[in-house]
Amino acid sequence: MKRGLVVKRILIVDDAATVRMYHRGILESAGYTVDEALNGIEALEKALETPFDLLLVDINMPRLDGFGFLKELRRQPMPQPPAIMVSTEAEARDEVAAYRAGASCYLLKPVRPSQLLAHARLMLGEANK
Amino acid sequence: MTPLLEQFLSESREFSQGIGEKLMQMEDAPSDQGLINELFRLVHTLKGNSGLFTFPEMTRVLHAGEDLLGLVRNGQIAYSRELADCLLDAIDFVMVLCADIEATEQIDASRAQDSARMAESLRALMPAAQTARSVSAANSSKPATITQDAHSAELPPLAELPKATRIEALHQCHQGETLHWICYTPASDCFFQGDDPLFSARQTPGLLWGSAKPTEPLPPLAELDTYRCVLEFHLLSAAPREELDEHFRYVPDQVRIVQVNPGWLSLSEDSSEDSSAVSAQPVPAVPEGAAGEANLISAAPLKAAAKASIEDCAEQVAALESILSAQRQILMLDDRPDWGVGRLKAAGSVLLNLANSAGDRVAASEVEAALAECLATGQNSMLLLWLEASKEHLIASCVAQPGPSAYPASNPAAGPSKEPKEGAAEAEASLAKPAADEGIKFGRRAEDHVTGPRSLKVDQAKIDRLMNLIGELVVSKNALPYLAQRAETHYGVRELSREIKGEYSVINRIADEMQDAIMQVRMMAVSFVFQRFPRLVRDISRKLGKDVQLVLEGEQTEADKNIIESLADPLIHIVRNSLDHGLETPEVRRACGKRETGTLTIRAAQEADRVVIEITDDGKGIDPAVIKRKAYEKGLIDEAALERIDDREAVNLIFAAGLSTSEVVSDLSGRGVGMDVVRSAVQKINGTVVIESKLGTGTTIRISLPLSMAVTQVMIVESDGQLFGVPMDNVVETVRVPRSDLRAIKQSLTVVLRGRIVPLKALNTLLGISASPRVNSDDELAVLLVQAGGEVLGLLVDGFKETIGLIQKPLAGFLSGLSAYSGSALMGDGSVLMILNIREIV
Repeated sequence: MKRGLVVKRILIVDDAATVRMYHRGILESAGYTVDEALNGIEALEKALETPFDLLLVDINMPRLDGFGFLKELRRQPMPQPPAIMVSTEAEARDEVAAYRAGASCYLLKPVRPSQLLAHARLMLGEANK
Repeated sequence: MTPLLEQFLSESREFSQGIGEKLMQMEDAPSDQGLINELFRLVHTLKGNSGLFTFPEMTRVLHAGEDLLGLVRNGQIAYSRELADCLLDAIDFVMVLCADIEATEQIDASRAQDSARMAESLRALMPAAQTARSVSAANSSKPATITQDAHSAELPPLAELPKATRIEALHQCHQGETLHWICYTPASDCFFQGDDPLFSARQTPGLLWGSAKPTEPLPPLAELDTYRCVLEFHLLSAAPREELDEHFRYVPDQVRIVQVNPGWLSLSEDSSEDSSAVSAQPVPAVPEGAAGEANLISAAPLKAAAKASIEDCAEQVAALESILSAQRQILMLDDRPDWGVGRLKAAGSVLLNLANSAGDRVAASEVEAALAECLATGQNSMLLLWLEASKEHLIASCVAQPGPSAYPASNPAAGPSKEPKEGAAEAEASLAKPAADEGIKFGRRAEDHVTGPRSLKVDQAKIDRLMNLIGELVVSKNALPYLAQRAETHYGVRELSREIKGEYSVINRIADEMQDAIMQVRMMAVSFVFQRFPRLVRDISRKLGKDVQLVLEGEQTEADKNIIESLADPLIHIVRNSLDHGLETPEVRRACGKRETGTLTIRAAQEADRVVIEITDDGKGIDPAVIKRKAYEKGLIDEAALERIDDREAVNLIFAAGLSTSEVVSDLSGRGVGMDVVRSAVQKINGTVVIESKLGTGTTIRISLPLSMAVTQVMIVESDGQLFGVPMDNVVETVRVPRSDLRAIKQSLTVVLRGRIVPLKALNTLLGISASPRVNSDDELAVLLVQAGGEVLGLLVDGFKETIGLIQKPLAGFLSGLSAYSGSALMGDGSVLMILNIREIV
């Protein structure tokens, strides 16, 4: 905002409140505006209502999982924000499945704060701000 | 405690409970895939949460649980009771750990072994192949270490020595000194033997050089068992062999001492040049993980932002590389799903932003062009080509540009949200400002939009405070009618009196509604208590070798929080009794011609202003003859009563203190102190409990409770000019009896009412007041019929007043010793009303 810039909005999609709080704390302290969704359905509703600049998506969630959410979002005729998929599943199978579904990169939980910020900044085009 | 930790604890409890419930449901539907998925998700999420902190004990167990459930989910192993048992134990353990963390913010050191044991027992349920895989690299690297050891038995790895040390050692050898190479591998449980390996190593006599390294690759921090030693020390000493043997005399089996041949030192001279990095490291630093940073959550990003350090730069390069590699994989995907275009656009956004991050306008426009072409042709190749060509350049510019750089501030298209609207107008400087303004509003609006949770967790103390306040309001409000009366009688202002009464009715209505609303907040569903029964019944029935099906009904029935909370213990007691003494073993049931599986039903329902809970079992029932005999033997009833009481009354004798009917005292339902405790607990909250039983077919226990204890309905009576309150629960009826109808039987006063002899007692006498009961002008006495402990009794009082609802306060301090009163309450005129404890005074 200081430099006449739009504050970037990030949507955290995770069913675990602790993880949401953790990610929110990191991103907000870096000056981003954060919104949360508890599952894929809620995330989809929010993402369709107002566009976000970056998505932070968990895989395993009730109602609609991260894959389902991304596939549905990527079907929409709208600008497509980058999506960081965050999960504990370490298998390579998930990584490719995540890309297939429309994730932009894949991070393993627990994500270190500096790691998350580096990814977020790069993907938001602000890494060297 | 940080908010994050609090959140973690509260969520952990919630999830643990959910896992327990799901496991119980699985018992009935072991092949329900939806349930298994849900169960897996809960454990998985809980594990993920624990990984944010340094709670390896918890993570280890949950990890094992997750792996196990993963196998169940994929159909590789079948759900079994044994498996559920193990998982339930694990969840219990997690709850214990949560309690630890809540108390001290860390896990008690003694839990590490339990944790390892728990994880092992979970893993024991997995097929061998899976276990081998899951136990991970830790063990697989062991054989390698051993062969290396065998090899190095011949020649110590002197190449490790830094050059300077080696030359120094060589020098000493030439001077005739004997050097020894020591390989000290402390036992993995050495910390429990009281050893301090690092200290021992450092104190090695004649130490020239030393190093420590892990014997196996260190697992991720979350799984690291800090109580297990996995280090190996390599030491070079100039001390004689005897001295070294003496130094390591307690751990000879863990030490290998080799005399150094000077030739080895010179031999290895050229093998390693820059090994000094190895030598300086005493113990490998704990791997930097999120766990370490998590505690500093607010500080860490700020710190990171402040220092445009090398670390940060490295982090950024690593992130950039991982993002680039991901985009490459995405662009190379050969499937063509219907969301493929969106996926391509997203990759385009990412690359565009990477170019923007690098501050490279040219690159950015190249990406846009490539993306446009890709979208037009439906081929990913253009972006892929660009990516391959620009990769090095992007990384280089990322490294070359630490610190503030020319961020393309004038480019409003930087964010994808802006892209569609103003992609064409990006050069227009005049547009930039309104766009930014709009963005700010947009941002704020978005914040306003953040939807809060639909239910709030409120501290109990706050609700209790509200309750107390409304109680005071009710009392103050009751002062108004007195005021109106005074206005009329004392000051003679009838108009004012009427107006006060008018205002009073308004305030009265609002206060009533408010009270009602607050009571609603305090209402809780009985499921709060019921939810623990599936597990309880399961565990106990299995322990007893009985097969029991639990049926819960009316779990949504609500009552005041205090009522629900004080219901838990009596209910558990009753359920245990039913399982222990009521329901039979399958063999016995079969012999009786019953279904082998017994049924225990717990049903809650609201009846008028009371909650009724029924616990029914189809067990063997209670034999009234046995109860009667026992009661007689214990002196609870006399011979006359033995003859007189019917079966129904006999069965209810089970509530009498000191009656144990079970022939064998079991460890489950205690030593027969049960049912009288149940009754007193229920009576304490103004409830009643009755039992019905039919020998051979089963038993039903019925507990009736008030919906709320907050407001007590009290009848006010007068005696010797003083007012007293009698709880309406005790009041049967009020009658006026002509003095001539009183009869004296054996020195006690009685009256015949509707064909029944009712004993009479004067309230004055009971309270130690010497005045005798007053009669009215018709020579009638006021008799308040009260019920106490099943007996109906008449209290002689001077007069009856109104019935009011009031908030009863328990007597405190000195007064708490006065058992004749159950409490006091403030009246509208400011006076104190003492409320009689009828059970005590009669």
